[in-house]
Amino acid sequence: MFSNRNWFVVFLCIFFSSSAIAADSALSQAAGDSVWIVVAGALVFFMQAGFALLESGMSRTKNSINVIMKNFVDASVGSIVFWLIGFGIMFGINQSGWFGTSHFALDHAEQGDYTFLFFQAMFAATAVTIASGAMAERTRFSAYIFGAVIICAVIYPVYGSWVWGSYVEGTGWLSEKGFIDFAGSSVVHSIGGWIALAGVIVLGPRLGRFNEDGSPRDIPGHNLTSVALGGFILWLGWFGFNAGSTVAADESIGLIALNTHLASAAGAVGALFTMMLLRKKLLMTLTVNGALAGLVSITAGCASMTPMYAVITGLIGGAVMIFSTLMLEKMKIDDVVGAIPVHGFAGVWGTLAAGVFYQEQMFNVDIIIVQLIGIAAAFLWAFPVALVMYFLIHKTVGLRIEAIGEQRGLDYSEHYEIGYPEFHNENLHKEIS
Amino acid sequence: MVDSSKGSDYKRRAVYTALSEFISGDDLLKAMCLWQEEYADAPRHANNQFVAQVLNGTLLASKHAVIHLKLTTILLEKDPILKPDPLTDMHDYLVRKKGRDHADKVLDHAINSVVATTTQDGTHKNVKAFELLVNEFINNVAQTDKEHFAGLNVAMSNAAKTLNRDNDKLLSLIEWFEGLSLSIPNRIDTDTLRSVLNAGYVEACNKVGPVVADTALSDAVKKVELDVSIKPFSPRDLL
Repeated sequence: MFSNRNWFVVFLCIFFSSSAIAADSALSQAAGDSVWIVVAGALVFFMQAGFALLESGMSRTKNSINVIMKNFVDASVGSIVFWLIGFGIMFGINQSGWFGTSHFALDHAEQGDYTFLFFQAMFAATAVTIASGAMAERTRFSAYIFGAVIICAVIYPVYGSWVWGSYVEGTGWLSEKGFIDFAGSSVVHSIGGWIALAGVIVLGPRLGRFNEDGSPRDIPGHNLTSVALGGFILWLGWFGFNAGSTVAADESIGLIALNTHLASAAGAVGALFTMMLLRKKLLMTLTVNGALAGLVSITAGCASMTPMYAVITGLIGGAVMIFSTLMLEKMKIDDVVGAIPVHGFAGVWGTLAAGVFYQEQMFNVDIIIVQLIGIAAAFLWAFPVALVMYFLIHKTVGLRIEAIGEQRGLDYSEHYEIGYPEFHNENLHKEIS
Repeated sequence: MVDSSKGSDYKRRAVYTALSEFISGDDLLKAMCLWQEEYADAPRHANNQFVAQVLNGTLLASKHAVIHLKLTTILLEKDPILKPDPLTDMHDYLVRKKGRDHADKVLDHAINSVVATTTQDGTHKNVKAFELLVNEFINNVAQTDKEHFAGLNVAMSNAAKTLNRDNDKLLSLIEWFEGLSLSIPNRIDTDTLRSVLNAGYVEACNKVGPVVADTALSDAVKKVELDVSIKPFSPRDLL
């Protein structure tokens, strides 16, 4: 039992601590912001685990280690390259509106800058890893890493500076036009999707992916359970991705998180509904991709839509993903995990939806035109540059593995490491000594 | 672009040439046997580990970077001047140190093997394993897809025609594919056989899909592995 004296001490503690909070409210807000951004950044980092599980699960056993390696090295190399070069181009002083010119290899800065850099490095790692799944099962590892470096140093940050490049001084040209992309439907996802499209075009499809009549042939992944787990992890991480983009611990994060969740759920439902309408099999992989398409779709407008429109955005995002998957298959473009439909096409829809359903000025033609300009700019920048980049890599280092490597599997031929040694006899390579 | 499809004989000569600048005699042959046994089919990045293993505990350990650089450079060079294939010396070394059985086991499937053992009917074991594997692979594909399996023979025969190798040897391979002979009489290096089999795998992927092709080849390997007449050669060396 507390004595009267103890109660008095407790009262004094509460009184003085609340006085201190009142006096230092500005400091507390900054600290709170910092805590929230770092936690959100950690959630975005956790998305890498989601990508790794989803992409490796959709690959065959003989290529699973290679996919994981690409994800892991994306996060590692991507973060360092972004710190060295990308952050400066994306968020440095941006007088021209086209790219930043300061804050390279940030080493002496305000505390808030470090927090912001940490959060943005996670975004860059996400953008660069999108292509890995699409290009899985036939890409030479070293060539892929070359590409990842250029993406993180140039392709991603240049477009990012057009949209978000007003962090220090100056502003990006798209930002000045009023382009809305709150957390990166275009900046992160469409850019990643178009890079992936360029990559798979240069690579060509996997051996036997299409029949002689051009119809697609299924090459099932080896672990659909991990695909589902990866999908859930991405869904979780997206709360940090979108709600963290406030870059402040304020009241708006509740709406953003709710919109994110509803759009993801609606994306899965939209994909299911579309598969039913098209009388297709109700595939789990496409349902997971539907949820991801819903997440990508809401990323641009999650802070400027009401929940009702978030649901509509997600539903349509799921449908867009299904239709674009079928379209790519008809075009004989082999995207192993569906990264281009999920990130590229759903990103386009999401960016458009952010303008169409903009809370205070719904269906405003001027806003929609700006959104369309931003969407076109993303494609016209990322796709041709990535196409040239991958073409040059293909001609120098060699982007695609030889047929014998594809037969043996990239785990063996690229890493000399086996993902599933207990199933060794099932694999098509000689024994590792 | 680096041609990583260079044969094992070329790689062995390149490794031998690079190492001979730093080590000699039995040490060099011991290193070459290690390479043949553990690194001949390993990816390029494994060379670093190979050099470390060779130099471990020797006075040359501090020269690891120089030797590794030399090895990498010579492997990447377009037309380097290479020393002759040391395979005979390697075999003699292994016979001296570990006995003929061990030497045969390690070097049996080496490219252009000068010590290749033969089966009872006189066929070389790698060639015999190839014959069995191809037959089994085609049979497995035929069970799934009766329409396309015949194309595999043609694809492998065509692949053999495009290889820049010894014509007489390839001719015997082509004749076997075209049904003009019951077995392949000549000794053919494992690299050539591997390339030809891979052409069949690619064709199978295109015709019946990679899932069927993988299963057919995997099942074929498992069955051929049980055949005692090809031992100690493993059909996995043809993959």
